[in-house]
Amino acid sequence: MAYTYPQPNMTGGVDTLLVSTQASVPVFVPLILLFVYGVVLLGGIMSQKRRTGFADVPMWATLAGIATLLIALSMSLVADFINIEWLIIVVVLTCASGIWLFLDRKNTEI
Amino acid sequence: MGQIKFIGSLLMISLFTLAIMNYAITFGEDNDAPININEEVKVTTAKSDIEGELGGFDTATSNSSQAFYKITQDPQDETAGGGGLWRNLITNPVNALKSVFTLARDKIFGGSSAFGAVLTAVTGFIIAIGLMYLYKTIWGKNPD
Repeated sequence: MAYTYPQPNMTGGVDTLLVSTQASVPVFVPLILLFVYGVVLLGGIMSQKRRTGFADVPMWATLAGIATLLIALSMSLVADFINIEWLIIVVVLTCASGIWLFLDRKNTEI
Repeated sequence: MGQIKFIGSLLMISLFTLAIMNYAITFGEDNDAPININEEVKVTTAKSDIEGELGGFDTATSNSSQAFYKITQDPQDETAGGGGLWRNLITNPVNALKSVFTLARDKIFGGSSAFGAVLTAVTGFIIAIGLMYLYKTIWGKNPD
């Protein structure tokens, strides 16, 4: 069977699988982070709208940013896995979501 | 959104941003992470700028409070003559927000003002709101 990228050598540990995949497919980590962000954001919005009829989008955007940040920080513990630019983008995106959240609040909310 | 709510929101944004940055940096340092956002100069600059603006806000609040007890008002005046003493309360939170927006523009849109047109417009809008609140504070008019 022909592969389009080199097969990972896992004798160095299981995390080598992720690192070598990232080396072969640079968009691997950003797509994982995008997936986490999308699941939390869209899942939260849909769930809240189904239960209450109202979706607090800024709050879910902030929560999705924080959830993605936690995953990205865990990734930063492994060398050659996540790029520092992506980590900073996640941090900035979370802060930008916070701006949206706090400027969107009504007097009766946080 | 009233003036107190507006300033409160800006301060909460500053504190939230500082908390996120400090958490990410401390997480990396505590765990000896090979990737840490404190290696990026723009992040550390924005962080120190926000901390400086928060310190400046504390000083401005203290100065305004001291000045507030010294103002006098004549019976024929519609508003207190010392209303301008509150003007400093809005500049520090807005400057802190500008630091966050600048970082977002640089890191998400690559520092190009053309790509960051949305953030630039939002920054200008927030500064305009701050100026209108200053007008409301000092002259007692309602810009809404």
